Amino acid sequence: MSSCSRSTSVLSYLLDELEEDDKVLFERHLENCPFCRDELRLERILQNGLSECTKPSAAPPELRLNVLKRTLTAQQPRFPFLQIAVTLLSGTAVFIVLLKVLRGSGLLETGFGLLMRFANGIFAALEPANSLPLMIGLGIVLIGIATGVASLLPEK
Amino acid sequence: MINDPDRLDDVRLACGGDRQAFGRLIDDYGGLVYTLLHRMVQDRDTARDLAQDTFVKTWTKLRSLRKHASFPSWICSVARRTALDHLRRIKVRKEVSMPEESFVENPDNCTQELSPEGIALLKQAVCKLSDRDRQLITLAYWKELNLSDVGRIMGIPESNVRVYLHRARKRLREHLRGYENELLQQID
Repeated sequence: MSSCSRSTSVLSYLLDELEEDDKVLFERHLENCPFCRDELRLERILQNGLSECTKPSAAPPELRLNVLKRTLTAQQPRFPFLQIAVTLLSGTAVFIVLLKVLRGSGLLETGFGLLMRFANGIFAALEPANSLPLMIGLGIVLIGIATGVASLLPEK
Repeated sequence: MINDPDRLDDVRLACGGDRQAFGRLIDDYGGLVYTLLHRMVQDRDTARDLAQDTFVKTWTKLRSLRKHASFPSWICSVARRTALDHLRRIKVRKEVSMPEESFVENPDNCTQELSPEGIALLKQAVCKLSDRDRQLITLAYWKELNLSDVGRIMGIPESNVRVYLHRARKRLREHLRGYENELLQQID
């Protein structure tokens, strides 16, 4: 026999991808089909051969030493949540300052009703500190505190 | 996926900044990373440098690794991206002409069934595959990785990995056409 239409199932059979019923049927077919038996043997050889010849080679001997040397200067980010906190605090500070500037310039009064109400709410809450230099100062202080805390934490 | 508790412990310790544990991970996965890179960039010295870059990048990003057990597939993804960046940088995508030397260099590496001649035939056929097929076949037969890992590394859905793998195997068989009897006779 030089070919068989069912030989396309050989690889699926070998990789155990056939449903149980199909598997049983195919095994019965194998008993009577020398072509598929040869195909199965060949696929098995390839399977084993590929596992063998694609094996990873050894790592270069100096890899560990060189990497560990480089990791002394390439530090792990210490606490990602602090970086996130710094980003959020900086973002909030910038947003508040921007809001203050826009509110002062009167730009928010036309077409940005919702934002204007939001800004009024925020600045009403911050009324005692309601001056631009104070707001900028507040933003800088928040960023400074967060960055300072992050840098003071010990490296593990 | 990592099942060995000691290795898992090393990943956990390395995530916490333990260099000794990270050193052990380099010993464990250095070969895997270097081999993948060598097969992609096809040059030993470049693969060595990129393997270092891969591990250094891994070190700086280790804290973002959520599932410690998926460290092998994660580091292979980093290696693959590092190699692709390198190839993009030098604007060379070498297709087909992979040197056979990038395969494991062990003269006794014949399987229980296949002689050294058979292995040589197989290597030649793998070398003729496209970049993607070769990477797929290389990764899919590494015991450290499962098909879901392979999908993650290659950036393809797991469901497609099987399909692509089948196609890659078919193309491999096409490259072996005419040698089937030779391979079969070797084990008779």
